[in-house]
Amino acid sequence: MHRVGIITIIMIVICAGLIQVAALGYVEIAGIKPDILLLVVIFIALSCQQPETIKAAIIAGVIKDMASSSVFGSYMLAFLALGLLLNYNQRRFYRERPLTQMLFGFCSYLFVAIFILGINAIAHRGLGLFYIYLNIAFKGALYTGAVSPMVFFVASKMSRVRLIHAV
Amino acid sequence: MKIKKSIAGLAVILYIALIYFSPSQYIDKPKFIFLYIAKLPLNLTHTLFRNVNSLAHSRDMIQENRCLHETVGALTLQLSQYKEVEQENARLRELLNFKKASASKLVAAGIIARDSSNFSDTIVINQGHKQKIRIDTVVVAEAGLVGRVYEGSPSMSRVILVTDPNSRVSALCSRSRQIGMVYGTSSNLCELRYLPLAADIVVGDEIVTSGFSDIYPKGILIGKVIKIVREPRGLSLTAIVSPAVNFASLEEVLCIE
Repeated sequence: MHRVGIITIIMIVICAGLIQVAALGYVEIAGIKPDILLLVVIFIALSCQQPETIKAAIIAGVIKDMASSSVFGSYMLAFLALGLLLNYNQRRFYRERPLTQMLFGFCSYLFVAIFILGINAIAHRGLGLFYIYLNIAFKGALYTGAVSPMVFFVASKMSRVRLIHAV
Repeated sequence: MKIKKSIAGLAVILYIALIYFSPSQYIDKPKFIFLYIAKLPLNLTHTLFRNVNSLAHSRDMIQENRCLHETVGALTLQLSQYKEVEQENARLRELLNFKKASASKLVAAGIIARDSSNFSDTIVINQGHKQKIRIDTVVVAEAGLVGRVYEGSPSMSRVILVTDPNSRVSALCSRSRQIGMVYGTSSNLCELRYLPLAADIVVGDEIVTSGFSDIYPKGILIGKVIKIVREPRGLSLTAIVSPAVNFASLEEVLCIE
């Protein structure tokens, strides 16, 4: 595990957030865009310690909440849960291979999607749209999984951290 | 450690209780505070990527510019003909003692943020209550309907697009006047539902707002029919509509006051 400075983490998350909110419309396919903020949270959870993961998840969650119409705080909670889960189990699962990164991106997207749908249901939003959301979640997970090796590569270059190998 | 875990657990329970019992406009208030703080960097990033995109598509733009020049020429000619018709229409209305329809005021707005998730299609525009943009203000672009204002602050508003799964617009086919309801699907397409099985609708038909609501004025172009779906045991037809507005490259919109 590595200790990455909080400034570096904030920089990476804010860069990803700005791109996510202001620029990903240019790369969307059939209305679906990848979730690079989620990938940055996964990267930090897999490569850094718990305090860094918590900070990254909170900042990424706030940025994501700010620009989405979901309940405020839902993404923050989802990213925190995912970040802590991955951080706790990082040595057990992860191997630095593109296919593993894709799988992580795919599964994490679905995890967050289910979390968000659950919170929105509690807040009485988007009820009755479950099948539409499920379809969108699957496509979004595929796209996010596909771009995850590239995002992991860029994030590792920015933070100068190599992801750990499973023991 | 145990105390920290208990506090975290309690915070989560409190949050869930809050979102269950509170009206959404109160929970979502902090979003606009963060958006206000992030307005400048968002604008800069948006401009940067827009310019990069323009450079990457400069060849297409030159060709598009040529086509647009030709179209402008043709439209100018058509406009002069329409002016004649308009004057004639005004004279006839006067003769029939019709009330003059009040012209709506349009407020131009720039997009400062797009929805960060795939589950909703919304944009944030840089005009709010100060510019008399209220909830349910209709938002259009040159090509057609964009959506309506869903929540707002003094200087910013969030617009729910017609492609959002929560969007509903009463619409009709401009050719056959067949009425239906346009639903968003969040995949850059809409569905015109509840058409009778024998509905006179074909691929290429233009779909416009019907005016049967307090929100959307009549006659705003929504899109064109690209496919007609007939479910095996369904009681109605569904037409897949491609929106007239290209939301991915949308940069400015007009709000109808």
